[in-house]
Amino acid sequence: MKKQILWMWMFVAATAMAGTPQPAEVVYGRVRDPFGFPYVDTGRIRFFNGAVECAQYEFGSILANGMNYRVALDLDSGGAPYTPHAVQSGQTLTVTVEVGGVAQPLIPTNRLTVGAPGSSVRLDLCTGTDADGDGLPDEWELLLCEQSGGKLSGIADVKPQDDFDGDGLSNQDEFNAGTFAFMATDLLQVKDFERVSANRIKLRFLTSQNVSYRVIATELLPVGSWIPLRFALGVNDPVAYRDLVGDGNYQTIYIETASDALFIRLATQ
Amino acid sequence: MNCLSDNSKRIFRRCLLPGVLLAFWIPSAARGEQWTNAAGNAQEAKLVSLERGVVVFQRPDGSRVDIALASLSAASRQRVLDEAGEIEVPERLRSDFGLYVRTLKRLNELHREGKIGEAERMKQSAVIQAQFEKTCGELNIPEARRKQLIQLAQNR
Repeated sequence: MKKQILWMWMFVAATAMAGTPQPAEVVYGRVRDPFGFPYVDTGRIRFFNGAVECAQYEFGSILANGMNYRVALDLDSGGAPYTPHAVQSGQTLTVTVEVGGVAQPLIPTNRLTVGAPGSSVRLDLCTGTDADGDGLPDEWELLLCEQSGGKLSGIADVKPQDDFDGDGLSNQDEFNAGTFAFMATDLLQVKDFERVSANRIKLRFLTSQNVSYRVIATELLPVGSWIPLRFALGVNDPVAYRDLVGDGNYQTIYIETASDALFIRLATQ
Repeated sequence: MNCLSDNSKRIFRRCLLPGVLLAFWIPSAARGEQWTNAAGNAQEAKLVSLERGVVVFQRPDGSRVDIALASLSAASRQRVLDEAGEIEVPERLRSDFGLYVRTLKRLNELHREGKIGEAERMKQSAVIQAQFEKTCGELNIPEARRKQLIQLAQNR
């Protein structure tokens, strides 16, 4: 009898100390190289709790909304983890991005605090260094200096909010869109805008490779809310898409609207 | 072989090796421009690149065609993989190579649309090539490989 009680006591104690599985936390986002382009054919992101790897994702293609990774962190209620890679809310994880097997420096952080069970969090990262702490990778800033023809001499001269080439887009916006920040004739803009039928409009623009685009519209400026429009890739195709991933060429899309009183914008994600 | 004189052996050795090489070289050179799909249709073309399962060929008239690697015959598929292996971009260089290719492509598109002149296109192409070569130098990429990669970038 004593033996049975001892076993029961040990079982209850073990159950009380062990964690129980909780709904996973989803971490997603976009990891870009030092020149602003999302990784698609190389590299992987990994999450560590101390020395234990919790999750990893190998970059392969652009996902919905312009993201290029998505992982689920297995959460635990506390105590001894039910599985070695389970994490608990409030713990701080280390994030690494490896390219060619080499861990890269990360901007703006290499830390992630685990959220509540069942939550989701977006974490956008950029590989590279940021010595001046302005959010733009030094590698991109130094390249802009080279491309400026001597007008910019160092990373301190390149500020995110400045518009070096004077085309109306800030350096930060050009970095995000993959356009040339040193060339006033290159910016994110619709080259051809033409009504091709009673309810279809054609838009043609120069895309940047692996950058994700959306067409958003509002009926009222400046207070209206901008709503994504679906588009077609062929003039007679159904409007079935919401995201366009650029291939570096001029690309044409067709939106459907019979209204003339609509403000339309092309946006990167 | 013992019945041959020393002179005959020398002549045999001198002729045999080039003969064997020639026998292998001629058919492979001829085959090098001929590609066959899974249905057995042959097409003369030059292999330009292989990226994510899509092969880009250049036809004799200069036009380019994209074909899924899986749609080629087994022999052609293997040859594409063998040849593409020679021009594979090292993983540690892929970001910089991608930047180089994208920049050249964008400059060409802007030039074609009349947004920049030839001088600007050439100037900025030289800047990005110098940047790429600098990175290759930092990563100790051999000179021959570097030239091969530059050629590949310019062809894309």
